[in-house]
Amino acid sequence: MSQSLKSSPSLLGKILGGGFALLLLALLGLELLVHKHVTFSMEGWFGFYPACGLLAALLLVLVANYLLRPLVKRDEDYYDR
Amino acid sequence: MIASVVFPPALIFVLGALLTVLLRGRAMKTVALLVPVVGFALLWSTADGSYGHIPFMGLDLVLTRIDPLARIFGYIFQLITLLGLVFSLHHNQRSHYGVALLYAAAAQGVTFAGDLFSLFLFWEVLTVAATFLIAAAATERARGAALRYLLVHIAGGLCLLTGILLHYAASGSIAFNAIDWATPGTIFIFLGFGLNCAWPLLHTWLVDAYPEAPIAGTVFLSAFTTKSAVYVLARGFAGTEALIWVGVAMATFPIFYALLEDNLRRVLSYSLISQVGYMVVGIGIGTQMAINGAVCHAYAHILYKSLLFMTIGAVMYRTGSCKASELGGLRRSMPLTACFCLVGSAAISAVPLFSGFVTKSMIMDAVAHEHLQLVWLVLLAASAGTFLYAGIKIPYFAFFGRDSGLRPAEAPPHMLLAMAGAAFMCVLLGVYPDFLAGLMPYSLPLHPYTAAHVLTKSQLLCFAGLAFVLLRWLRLWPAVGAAVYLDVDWFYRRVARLFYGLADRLLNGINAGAEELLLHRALPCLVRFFEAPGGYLQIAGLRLLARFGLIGRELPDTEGMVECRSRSGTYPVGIGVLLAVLYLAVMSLLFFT
Repeated sequence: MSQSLKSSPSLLGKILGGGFALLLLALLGLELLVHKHVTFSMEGWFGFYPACGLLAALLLVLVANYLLRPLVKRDEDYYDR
Repeated sequence: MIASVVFPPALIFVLGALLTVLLRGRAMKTVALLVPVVGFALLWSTADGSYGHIPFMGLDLVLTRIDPLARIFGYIFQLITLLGLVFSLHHNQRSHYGVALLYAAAAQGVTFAGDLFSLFLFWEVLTVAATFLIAAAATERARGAALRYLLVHIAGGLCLLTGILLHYAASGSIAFNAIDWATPGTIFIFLGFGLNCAWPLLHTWLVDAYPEAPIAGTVFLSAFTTKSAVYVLARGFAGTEALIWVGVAMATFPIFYALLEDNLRRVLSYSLISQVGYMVVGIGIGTQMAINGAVCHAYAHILYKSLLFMTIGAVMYRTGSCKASELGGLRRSMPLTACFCLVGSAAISAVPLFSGFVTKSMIMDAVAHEHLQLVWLVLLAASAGTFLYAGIKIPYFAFFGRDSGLRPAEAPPHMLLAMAGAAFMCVLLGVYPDFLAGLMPYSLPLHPYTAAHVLTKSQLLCFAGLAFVLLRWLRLWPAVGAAVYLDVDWFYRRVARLFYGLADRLLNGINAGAEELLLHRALPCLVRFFEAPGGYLQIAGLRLLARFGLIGRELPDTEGMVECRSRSGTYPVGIGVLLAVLYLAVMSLLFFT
């Protein structure tokens, strides 16, 4: 019993996760109500900023982890040898 | 005003540095803390203008030129000196306070220099003081990093000096204002400034040295060198289009390294370059709006970056580590430090109500105003990246996340006080942007808090946060662990070692060969020859004659006679007369023809 409690996400985690999901939905919903001052046409697309944040973050991490890391990672004592 | 003629702000700091070296204990610390306060009072009470003109070898040196652009940098450098000194009160070495104040003096000197020569002088003091601040960590790695720092910056300083001399030769003036691209020295000045600004490919001194410096030293380092370079670029090269692209590169590439790095102080160092990138973009655009943005972002950046370096410094002070892989869960025993770290993270990530939100949006608006769509899009993506590595990674891996089991004590009171001061300023600039509006070089309206702006920025950050949750859940987030991530410094740390080896074998080979030839072979021959030079020459001549058959059997007897004569120094008078006549003949040919 205690094992399953440990491996399952805690109540606090669930509340935080749920709250975060609600926040994301609310931010998307608010976009329908708030008038955006558009300089570039793409800014006016629905969900442009959320998509930009999500995709940019994913892309940056994946590029760092799978392209840059294999190229530049060395042992900690590389320069001391 | 009169006071300023006698005391340029930099001189207050130099005197303070000298005084602290003479004192010790509480008196030393009190004097050190008073220096930035006195400096601030002096600057605050002095009106804009040029003071303290010194004629020097036909040049007009201006030690104090105060205008709105210099003033805002002067204030923030004084404020961060005070906060940095409060943070470092656990130090009892006199050298620490002396060097820190000298470093601050150099930053004040650069800021208020009205001519290129005094600028160069203070520029070099910046380098020397920073080198000692780094080396003060007294570890092997810190000494190496300090030496590399010094070498790189001496090269940059010489480049700047070359530029200044060429500029002076071409224009006849050393006044430091906007620099004209028509003179040949401009490119050298540009690159000299750029090296201190940590432009891409010229940046590795920063990520090499700052993580190795003592925790209090890093607070000063993070504020002065790069931001004084931002200041001189804003004054000398506002509107230089190349800077836009340099800035875009600066803002983006460090993010990849910051995401990978395990050492949180190195993450902050890469992040520093990225944030300075935004300022460089603003300077490159060069409109009043953009310069305001760049300068205000520098102001806010100095505060939140120092705050983050202080929080990680406090963690290092208590645990001895600043590695993501060795930390975690420290909020349980260092709750106040954790709160201050969250404030710094929110400020750097441009969360609404924190300083970065106000200042970064000024630059983004200036970019949008010039319709630079690609630049704008890349900087927007970089903002999302900033939130990942600075907004989430640093607090998460240090204070939240996996429990490392470490239960260090809360940071000492003086560190908490310094962090509280910086955190207060981060919030003040966020909730009361008019504070900044009063300091901006150009008075323009400042309206960061529109509903659309708050919403779109919140969307960007929250969905970048969603990316973090997804990546952690899918186990795609870069694993933390001790490693070296190669950067451009590989060229001078590894390739230079190869070059050193080659040069060693080639040049030392020549050296050894020359020693063998000259010292061991030629010298004994010469020594023997000069025992009796005349005799040996005659014998050689006689042998030559004998070879051609001009003399025959009498050779051994003649040789014996020549040797005997030359050793006893007795020559017939005729030979002496012959030599005298020959000498006079040569002289008359030389002088009378």
